[in-house]
Amino acid sequence: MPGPGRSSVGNDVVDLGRPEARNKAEDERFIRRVLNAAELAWLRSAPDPDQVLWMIWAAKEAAFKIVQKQDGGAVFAHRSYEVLPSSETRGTVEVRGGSNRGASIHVEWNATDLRMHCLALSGSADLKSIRADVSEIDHPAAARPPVRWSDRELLSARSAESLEARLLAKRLASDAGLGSVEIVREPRARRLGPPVLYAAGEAAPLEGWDLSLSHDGVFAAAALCPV
Amino acid sequence: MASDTKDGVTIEQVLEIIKPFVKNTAALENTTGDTRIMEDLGVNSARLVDIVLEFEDKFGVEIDNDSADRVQTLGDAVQVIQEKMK
Repeated sequence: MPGPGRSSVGNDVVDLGRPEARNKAEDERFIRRVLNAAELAWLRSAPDPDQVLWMIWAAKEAAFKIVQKQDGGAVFAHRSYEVLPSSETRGTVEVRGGSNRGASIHVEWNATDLRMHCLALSGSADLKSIRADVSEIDHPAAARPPVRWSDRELLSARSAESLEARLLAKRLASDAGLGSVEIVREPRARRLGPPVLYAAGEAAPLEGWDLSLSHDGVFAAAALCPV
Repeated sequence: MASDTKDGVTIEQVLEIIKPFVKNTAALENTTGDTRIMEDLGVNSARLVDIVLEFEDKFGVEIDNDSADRVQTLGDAVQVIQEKMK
């Protein structure tokens, strides 16, 4: 269960430009499925309900990515993950139910008109220690250096969007002085496991760093944190 | 496309509901029970909630959060719906 000690990072990006993201706060069945009573009240009092919906959504998703790392069998019931804002850009996610009840995870939002991005962090590290980036997939201005993917990377990256998120993570790792890395997700019983960093060609995972990947629509995101 | 039946619910029925949400339409050409709805078909997590709600309407079942979380592959979807229809 997330708590003090070893840090874990999660992140989630939502493309606010996708047609299905617009006016979703008016989808009563959807919001009742994923939000609890306090979150519904927050959304209904907001001048921009869609913005609040996707803030809450991204925080829950980012927090679950942390929980899942420490409990591979964790069940994700969105309403059991309560998002509590402490400011316009920061808050916590409290896990209210299931085997991870009591977990508390710090979150930080970074939004533009086009996308919502949320970072999540558990443990003793500071949110400022997270290296994160969001990119627009296939943006004409984006540089595309040739990338050589290993077989084990390609096995667990099933789309161009997931490769884009991995590319971002490789850049973050390089900037952090980790050199060339591979990023692998192993299958688990219920879903694919979290992304794991390996120094290129090494059999054992790289110690001391944790990684999170996300993509949605035209956006990819990655976050890297010392643990 | 795979043809798989579990006590009356077929992958084809499930796919008909999922298709409008699929981004990676090329993957629809070669689906099996192991096809992952999010990773292989390019469905995002919010749309997966919409899909579960559509399952409820189409099959007249109620899918609780624990069961919804089990819906990761097409085979999972068939199995969960079938369980709820009993």
